[in-house]
Amino acid sequence: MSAAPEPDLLATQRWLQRALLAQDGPGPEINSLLTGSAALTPRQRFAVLRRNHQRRLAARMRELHPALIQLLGREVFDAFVLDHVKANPARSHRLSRFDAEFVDHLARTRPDAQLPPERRDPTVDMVLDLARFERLYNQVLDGPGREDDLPATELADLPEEDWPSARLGPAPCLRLFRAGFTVHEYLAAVRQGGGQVPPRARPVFLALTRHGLQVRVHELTADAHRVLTSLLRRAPLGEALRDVDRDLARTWLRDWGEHGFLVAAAGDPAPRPRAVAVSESS
Amino acid sequence: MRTGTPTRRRLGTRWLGFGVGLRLPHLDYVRQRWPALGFFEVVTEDFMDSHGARRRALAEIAERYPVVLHGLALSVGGCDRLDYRYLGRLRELADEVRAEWVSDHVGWTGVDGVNTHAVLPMPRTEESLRHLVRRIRTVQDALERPLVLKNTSSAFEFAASTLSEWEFLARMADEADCGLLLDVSNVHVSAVNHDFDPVEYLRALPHHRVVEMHLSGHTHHGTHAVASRDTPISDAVWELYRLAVVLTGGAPTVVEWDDQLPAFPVLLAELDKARRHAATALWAGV
Repeated sequence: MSAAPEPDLLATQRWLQRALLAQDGPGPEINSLLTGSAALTPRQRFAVLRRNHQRRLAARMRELHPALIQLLGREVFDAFVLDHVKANPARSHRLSRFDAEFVDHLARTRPDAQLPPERRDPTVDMVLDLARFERLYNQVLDGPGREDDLPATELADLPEEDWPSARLGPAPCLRLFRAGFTVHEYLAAVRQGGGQVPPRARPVFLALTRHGLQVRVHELTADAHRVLTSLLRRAPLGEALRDVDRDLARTWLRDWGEHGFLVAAAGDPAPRPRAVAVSESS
Repeated sequence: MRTGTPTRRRLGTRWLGFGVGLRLPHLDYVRQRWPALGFFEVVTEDFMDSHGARRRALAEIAERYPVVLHGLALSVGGCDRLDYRYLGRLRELADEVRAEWVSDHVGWTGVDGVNTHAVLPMPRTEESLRHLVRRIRTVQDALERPLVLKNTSSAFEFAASTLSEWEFLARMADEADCGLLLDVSNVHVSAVNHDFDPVEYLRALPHHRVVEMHLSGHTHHGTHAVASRDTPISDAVWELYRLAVVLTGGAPTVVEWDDQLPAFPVLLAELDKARRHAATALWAGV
């Protein structure tokens, strides 16, 4: 039994989509599928649609990466977006998903990818750190927040003998990040109209949370970042704080409770095990 | 095919006055100033999948203003199966913000699982019309509210098209019993690109089905025009808008601005112009 003929509409849509997304655009069949105008050939008219599509998509992506645009310039940023569109056509209406794939695409296609890490261009590392940070910032902004959770402000008072068995609840919006450049300072500067000086090279360890409509970025020490990473992986408190000075540990617990990194279940002031937020770091 | 029972003007929707297409960079301004305007139109996909700040901001806005939803991704003209998860979330959002109505575009966004993040044109054929009408009815059943569809601008014409754009829209709206979102700027842009008379276009539409109107800036490139939505509204579009107001008796009107987004007061100034043009048209009949 032969297959049913493809409906004209489906065939037309497949052709148009291919022509829109393909590197080399439409083939000669365009002259029988589209009409020209007094001023433009079918191919020229199609090019208007193609340019418009690329312009719109780049414009939407620009909303997500103000700092990356400041660093790279709009022309280079738009070229990166278009390269991504052609290589990885989106399969979701969610721009956030397309953006996540964009950041991955940048990392995959870095020009020095074949070199060992120590010989790679640090400028590329800076660009990737910034792209990842902006992506994570947007994820925290649009993800679940801690408005309905109670900050675990009493953590510092938790008796030390309970530490070995205590597993703390991280706030749903808590994300950890590490980078080789001061990308958080750069994004803050860009948001205030600055950003003329690029991110500086130094290791940074960050925690991002959201309260209300604000994303808060906290710089941590490397040790604090390590302990929080362990807690996010559901390690018992005693294990995560094993090598940490007790006074310092209590200071951290108090600060982290106040900052909303760790939360107690609503209606229950004691910290309890709960669903874990996904930890993400570079 | 006209239905036997006369359709209520604007499908019985409320008169909301003059509103603005809310863009994300303006969220803070709006929540700090609460500007005086009739309603906000929000891009469905900007909020549908948000679980955080955006959704909370929209909830605050919906407490103070009427809200209508305007989507980009329904793909009602597409050949892939309708996405019922998308429709479910759309309905949830519409219920949450008590959306006065839900709109999207006459067109499609992708096929074979791809999403181009653009609304693409369809050939205006009997096959396309049947396909659209069937899917619009399904969407309306799923949403349990009328769907309002917007005319897009186009840069090219399919050789297979057999219907004029206005004939296609009129039949689609009547046969699917849906609303129309008349983008006056898109009519002007398409008229430039396809050398038709925009007045004939406006006169031929089923005016009682026009639930909302859009106005935005466009760019002329000599050989063609583009709905760039990055400039003030042109005199040619204001002229068409006045005619559209007379023909429809006025419909809630939104000023859209996408690229090179200016400060919010610039949009309010464009909205004031829209109010004046609408008042002039209704008063003088032009």
